[in-house]
Amino acid sequence: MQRWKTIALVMGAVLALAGCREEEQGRPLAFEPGVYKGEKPAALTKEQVRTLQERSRLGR
Amino acid sequence: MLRKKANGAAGRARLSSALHVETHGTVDRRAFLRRSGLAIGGLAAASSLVTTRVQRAEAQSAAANSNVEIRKSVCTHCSVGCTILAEVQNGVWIGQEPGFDSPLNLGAHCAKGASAREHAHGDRRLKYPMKLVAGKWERINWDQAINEIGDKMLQIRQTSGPDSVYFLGSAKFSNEQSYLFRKLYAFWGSNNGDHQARICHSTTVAGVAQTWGYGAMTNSYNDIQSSKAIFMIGSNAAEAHPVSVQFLLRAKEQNNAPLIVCDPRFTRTAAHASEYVRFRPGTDIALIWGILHHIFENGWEDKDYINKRVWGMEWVREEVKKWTPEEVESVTGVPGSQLRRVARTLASNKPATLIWCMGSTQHSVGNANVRAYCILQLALGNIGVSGGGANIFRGHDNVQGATDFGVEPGTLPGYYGLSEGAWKHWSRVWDVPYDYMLARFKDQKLMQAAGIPLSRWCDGVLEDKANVDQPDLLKAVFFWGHAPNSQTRGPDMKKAFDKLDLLVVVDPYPTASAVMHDRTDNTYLLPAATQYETVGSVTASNRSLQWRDKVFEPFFEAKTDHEIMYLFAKKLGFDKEMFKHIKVEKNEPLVEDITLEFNRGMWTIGYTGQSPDRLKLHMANQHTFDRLTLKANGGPCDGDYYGLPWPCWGTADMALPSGKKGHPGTPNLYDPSKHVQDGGLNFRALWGATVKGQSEKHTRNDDNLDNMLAVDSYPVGNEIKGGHPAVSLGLLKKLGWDGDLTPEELATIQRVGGDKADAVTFTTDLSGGLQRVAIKHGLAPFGNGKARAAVWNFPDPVPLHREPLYTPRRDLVAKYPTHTDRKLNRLPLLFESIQKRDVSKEYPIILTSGRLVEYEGGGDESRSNPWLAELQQNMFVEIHPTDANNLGIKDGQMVWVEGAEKGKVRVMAMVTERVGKGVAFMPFHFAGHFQGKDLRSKYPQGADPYVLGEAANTATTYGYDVVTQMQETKTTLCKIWRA
Amino acid sequence: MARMKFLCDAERCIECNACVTACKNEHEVPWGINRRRVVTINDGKPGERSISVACMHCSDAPCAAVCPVDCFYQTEEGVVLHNKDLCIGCGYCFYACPFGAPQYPQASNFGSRGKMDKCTFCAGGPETNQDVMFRKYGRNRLAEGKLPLCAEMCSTKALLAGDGDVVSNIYRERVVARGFGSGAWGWGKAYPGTPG
Repeated sequence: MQRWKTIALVMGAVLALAGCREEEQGRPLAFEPGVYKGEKPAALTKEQVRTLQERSRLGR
Repeated sequence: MLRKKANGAAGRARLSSALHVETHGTVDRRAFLRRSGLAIGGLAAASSLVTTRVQRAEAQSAAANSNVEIRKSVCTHCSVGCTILAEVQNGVWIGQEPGFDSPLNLGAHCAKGASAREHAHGDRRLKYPMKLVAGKWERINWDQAINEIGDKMLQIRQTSGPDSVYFLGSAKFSNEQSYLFRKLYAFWGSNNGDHQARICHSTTVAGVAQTWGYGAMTNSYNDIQSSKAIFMIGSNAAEAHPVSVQFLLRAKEQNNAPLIVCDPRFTRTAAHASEYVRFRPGTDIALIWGILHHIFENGWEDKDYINKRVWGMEWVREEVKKWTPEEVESVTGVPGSQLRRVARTLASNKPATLIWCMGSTQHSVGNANVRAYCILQLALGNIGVSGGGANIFRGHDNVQGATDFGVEPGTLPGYYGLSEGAWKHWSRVWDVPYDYMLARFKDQKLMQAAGIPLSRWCDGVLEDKANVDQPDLLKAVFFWGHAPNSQTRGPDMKKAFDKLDLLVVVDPYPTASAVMHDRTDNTYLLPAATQYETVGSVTASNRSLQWRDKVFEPFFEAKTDHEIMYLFAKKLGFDKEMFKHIKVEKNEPLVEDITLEFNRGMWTIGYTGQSPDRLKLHMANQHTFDRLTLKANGGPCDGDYYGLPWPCWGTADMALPSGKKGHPGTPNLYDPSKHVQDGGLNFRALWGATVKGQSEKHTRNDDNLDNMLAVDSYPVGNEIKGGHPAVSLGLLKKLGWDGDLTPEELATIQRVGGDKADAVTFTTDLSGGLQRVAIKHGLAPFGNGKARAAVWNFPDPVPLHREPLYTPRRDLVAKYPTHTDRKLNRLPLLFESIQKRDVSKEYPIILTSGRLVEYEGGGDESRSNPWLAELQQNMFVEIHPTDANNLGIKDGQMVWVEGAEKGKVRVMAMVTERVGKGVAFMPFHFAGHFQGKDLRSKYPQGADPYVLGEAANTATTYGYDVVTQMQETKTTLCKIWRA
Repeated sequence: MARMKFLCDAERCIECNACVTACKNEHEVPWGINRRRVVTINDGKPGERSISVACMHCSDAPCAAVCPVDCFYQTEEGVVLHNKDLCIGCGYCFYACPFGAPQYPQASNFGSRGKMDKCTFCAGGPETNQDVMFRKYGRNRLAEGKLPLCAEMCSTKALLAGDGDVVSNIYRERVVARGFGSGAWGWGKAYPGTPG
C-alpha cells in the first residue's frame, strides 16, 4: 500500500513539475532587465532592404 | 501551472508553435491541452470585424500570398479618378495597394479611397430586395420586386401617363450604365429623369458651354503643375478633391505659384494659400467684377486675345465700371486693397488657372457666377493654354460621364437636346424607328419639353396639378444611386415622400430615402452592386476615360445597375428594342456592347474614339503616360493622351494625317498650339457666324463687331487659317474637300440627310467621315468661333450681381434684386416673391453648407464604413466665437439651427474662427436624424450606418438657379439657439 | 544601411486622413485604436498646420527603456516592435512616448486596458505564422518589399516613409524649391504679414 502511495505521490510530483521547463510553458520565466526574451522573426535580407530603399524614392 | 490568462490570441500562437513543433515530430503536452481550448478563446477575443478575419484566414493558406491577383479599378468617390489596385485571393478582396503607375493620382488616395475595400466587407450594405409591409421591412426576392414595381408603374402609366414616374439616376453609374439609364426613361416615354449634376455643376455646364462651346473642365488636374498662379473660388479641394492638391502644391513649390483662395470659410485649402480672400456668401460676381475692375482700369487685360477670340467684352466692361473698390467692399466685405493685389498677382503671373466647385455653382445666380469666372480668364487670356484654363472640379466619380450621357431632363445623350432632330439622330443610333419613340411618349410636345429637374421633384408631387405642365403630378419616384439629404427643403421632401404612390430605392445602401418618411407600403429597396463589382468606363473631371476591372462578385443578392435596368425593360415590355444591339447573357447586358453603341452616337463631344479595347490598353500601360502632359511617348499607346480625354474625334481607328490611327484625345481644351489631330482645339462656333438675327440688343450692324467666328486665331495646321462654322457636308463642298470622303462615308451621310444631305453636320454624320476630313485639313469639327462674354439667350447676358433669395443685406435688395417669378421645366419658379419677405431680423445668421473629407454625398455609404465613420462621429454646425458668445453657446453644446422656412436640426456646436462673423456652416453628409428625432430603428435590420446625424438640408430653403434650377445651398438664413 | 523613418511634411499635409484609414484597412485595426492620427494646430485660423503622427520608431526608444517586461525590440532597420505575448498592458510605454503612439484596445476582460497596440512600420511582429501575425500585428509589408501603406497612399505625398536618407533627400529638395519666400529667416521683416 505504502509503495503505491509513494508511486502515486512521485507521479503527482512529476506531473505538477511537468510544466516548469521554459520551453513547455512557452513563455520566458526569468526576468533579465533590458533583455528582450520574445521571438524575433527573420531579419530582412540585403535584397529586401535595397528594394525598400528604391521604393522610398516613390515619394518624390 | 497555467497561471497565464487565457487570451485567445495567445492561444492561437501556442497552436501555431505547437504545429511547428508537431512537424518536427514531437507533441508538446501543454500545447495538446491548449489546443482543445483554442476554439473558445480564439474567436471570442476577435473584434467586431470577426467575419473578415475568418474570411481572410480562409483565403490565405499557411504559405501566404500564393494565388493573389491584382485587379485594377477606379475609386468610386470623387472625379479625380484614383486607380485602386485590389489584391484578390479566391474571390475575396484582401488588400489594397497604391497604384503608383496611374498618371492621375500617382498612387495617392484620400481617406475614402484608402478605405475602399470596406465595400467588400459590406457590414451595412443591403443584401437582398426589401419591401415595406405595414411599416415593417420584409425580405422579398427579385422576381417579386420587379413584378410588383413594374405592375405599379404600368398602372400609373395608364392612369396618369408616363411623365408621372420620376427616374432619379446616379452620378455613380458607369458611362455604360448612365447611357443605358438615359435610354431607359427615353424608352419609357418621359423626360423626367436627372442625376446629381443638377445640384452640383449644372450651372457650370450650362454657363460654360454657352460661353465657349463645351461645359467641362478645360485642362486637367495634372496640368495645374504648369500654372504660374492658382485662383480658387468656392472650392475646398483639400477636403473635396484631396489628391488633386498634390498638383496644386507642386505648382506652388516648383513654380512659386501664388495660391489665392476665395471662400467665406477659412477652409483647409485656405490654410495653404498664399492669399486668402474672405467674402460674403452669394457675392461671387461682385468679387470677380471687383478684380476685373482693376484689370481693366490698369490695362492688364490681354487685348490681342480678346480681339481674336472673344465676342462681347464691351458689355462686360460697362458693367465692371460700376464695381468700384468701395462698392465691392460694401457688397462682398472684401477690402479694396486686397482685390487690387489679387488682380495684380493674376496679371503678372501667367498662365493662371481658375478653379471652382460647389461654392460657386449652388446659387440662384450660379449660371452667372461661372460665366463671370470664364470672363475673367478670357480677359487675362488664360483659356486654351497649358497651365491656365477653367479647371472645374467635378464631384462624384462619374458625374462627368453621367452629364455627358444626358441623364437629365433637358437633353438626350451628348447634349443633343430634345428637338425632333435630336430624337431622330438617336433613333438612328438605336436602330428603332423615330415613330416608335414618338409613340412611347404621351405626345410630341412632351417629348420635346424639358422635364422636371430633380431639385424640384418634391414640387412635382406637391404642387397644384393645374400649375404643372404635364398631364398629372409625379406619382412614383426611383431613387437610383442618389441620396435625398443632398437636396434642399427636407420637410417638404418628407411630405412629398409620404404622398407618393410608389417609391423605389436602388442602391448598395438603404440611404435616408428608406427612413426619412412615414410610408408604410409601396416602398422598395433593391440592392445594387457597387462599381467594384462590375466592369465599365468612367470619366474623370479632366474628361479622361478609365476602364474598371471587376474586383469581386456582386455582394449577396445585389445586382449590377445594368442588369436591373434590363429586368425593368423586360417587365415593361421594351427590352427587345432597347437592347437590339446589346448582347444580354443571363439577364446581364454585355458592357462592351454598350460602349460600342455609344461610340456610334456621341459625335458632338467626341465619345466616339474611346473604344473598350483602347481604354483597356491604356489601363494596362498606365506607366507609359507622362505625369505632366498625360501623353504616352512610346509604348503600346504611343501618341495617345491618357484616357483619350474627350473630344476624341472620329472612330476608334480613324486615319489621321500623321498616319496614326485613332484620335489621341484632347488634354487641354481650346489650345491652338497643337494640331487638332494631336489634341489641339479652338473655341466652338456654336452660335453661327454672326449675332445678326439672333439678338437685337447685341447687334451693332458692324461686320467686325457682330462677327462670331474667330479672327486670326486657329490651331496649328488649320488650312483655312481663320474662323469657320461647324463642319457639315455643305461646308466641305464649299471648301472643295468633299471629294476626300470615301464612298461609304458619303453614302452614310446621304442616308442620314436624305434630300438635305448638305445640312448633315459632324454631330449627325454616323460615318465619322466629316470629322475625319475636317481633321485632315486641320479643322476642328465643331467650328472655330469666338467665346461669348455676353450670353444673349440667358436672363442676364452679362452676369449681374443679384442678392440671394435669403439675404441679411436688405439694404442691397432694392439695388440688386433677384429675378422675377416665372415658369421653367413645367413648374412655377419663384424668385422675387421669396426675396420680398424680410426675415433677416428673425434669421440673422447666414447659413452655408459644404463637404468633409471623410464622407461623400448623402453619406450613408461612407458613414457605413467604420474606418471613416470613426473619424467624424457627430454632425455639427460651425459658429464664429462672437456669435457664439452673443447666443450663449459653448463649444460642444447641442443647439438648434432653424432655417428661414422653419426646418430645424439639432446638432453639436463647434465654435471656431473658420467661419466669419455672422456665418454658420454645416456639413451635408449626415442623415438618419430628423428635426431632433433619431430614425435608426426605421432602417432595415443591420443596414443602418454607424454614424447618424441631422441632415443639413432639413434646414435649407427654396432657391433655384434661373437657368438650370440648381439649388441655392450655399447661402440662406438661419437662427441658432441652445438646445 | 539607413534606418527606416517617417517624415510628415507639414506644408503638404491637408488632414485628409488617408494615412489613418490606409492603416486601418491594411491591418484591420478595430474601432477605437488609431495607430496613426493627424494632429492639427491652429485649426480654422491662419497658420493652421497638420501633421500625421504614429510611432516614430525612435533610435533610443523611451517605450523600450521603460517597459517592465522588456517586450520591445528593434529590427536591423530601426523599426521598433513589441511582443504582445510578453506585454502586460501596464501603459507605462504610453507615459513615456512623446508621440502617444501606444494604443490600447478597449474591449477586453473587465474593460481593462488590454495589450498595447501600435504602428509597426508595416513590419508585422514577432510571429512566424502569417495568419497569426496578421491577427495580432497586421501585415508585414517590409518583407514583401513594400513600404508603410500610410505613406504610400498619402494624398499629397506629405507623409514619407522609408530609408531615412532617401526620405530626407526628398524633403530637402522640396525645402530648396520652397525656400524662396517661405519661412526663410528675415522674410517676415521684409514682407510684413508673411511667415519667417
